[in-house]
Amino acid sequence: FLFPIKMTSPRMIKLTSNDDKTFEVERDVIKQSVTVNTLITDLNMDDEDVSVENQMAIPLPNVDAATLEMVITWCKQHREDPPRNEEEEEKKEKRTDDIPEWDKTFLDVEQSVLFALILAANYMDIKGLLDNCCKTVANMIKGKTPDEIRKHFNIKNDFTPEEEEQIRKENAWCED
Amino acid sequence: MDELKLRRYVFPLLDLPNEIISMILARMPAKELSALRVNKKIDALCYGNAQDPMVMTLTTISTYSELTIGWTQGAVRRSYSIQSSMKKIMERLRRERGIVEYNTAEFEFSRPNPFHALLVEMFSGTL
Repeated sequence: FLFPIKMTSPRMIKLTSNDDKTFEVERDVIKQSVTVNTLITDLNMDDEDVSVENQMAIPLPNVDAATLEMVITWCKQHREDPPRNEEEEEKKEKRTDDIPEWDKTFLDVEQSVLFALILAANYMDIKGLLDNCCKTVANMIKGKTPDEIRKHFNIKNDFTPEEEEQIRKENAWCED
Repeated sequence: MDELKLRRYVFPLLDLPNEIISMILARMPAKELSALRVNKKIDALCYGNAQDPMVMTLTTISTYSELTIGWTQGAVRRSYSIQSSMKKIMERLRRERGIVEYNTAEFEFSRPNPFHALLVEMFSGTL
């Protein structure tokens, strides 16, 4: 007997960046974005009968194409990750030395790219990506003196001499 | 440094939304928090926006004493290390003031009490 086999291709979702580039991404991949996930549900886009060609693209006005491409790459890499339990994450010891190797390499980019990724992860509400980006920035701060931190992050010292003296006293206290 | 170089080599930390800066700062170990006192905005995010100098000072002491700020809703919370922090404070009070015992069971950084006043005196060097 021969039975007809129904080939099921993965459900695709269209996303449009703020510079009008459209990406097709598997539904299963982009589910890591709470923002996109909510939009898909609210707009009833999980309807199997609507083909991807006829589907409305989800606009992401705060994310440019280059950054969106990176976000999709990250989501593809992490598609098998178990869902995060935010309550458990909150209880965990705050560490920065537990960034997976793949993510370390992925996030080893120019500062402006990392900055755009952080904003995109925040806007798209992708907690795993945002968390690893924050850890990467924290690692850039660690071990630096206040002057080195100011230089690296282009931060202006806006303390008055009196406030600086107070900080010096407080630092002396904690070093005691 | 021109604009392009700045974008490439400098991370514009202060341009991030406050909640993200707080998330980054929350990742810093307590012993490195004193190095973060580089700017008023970061100071406020690190140690809270307390207007009352005593509350601000106490918040700073609490952080320096390896207590961590509650990053959610700006509330101050106790960390796992409160016992070691209190031990450190009590050792100093014992050394400088001859106080050998103080009931710290009700210690609450967000609600100043006479013990806080004592800490502020100690902290500001007027004890």
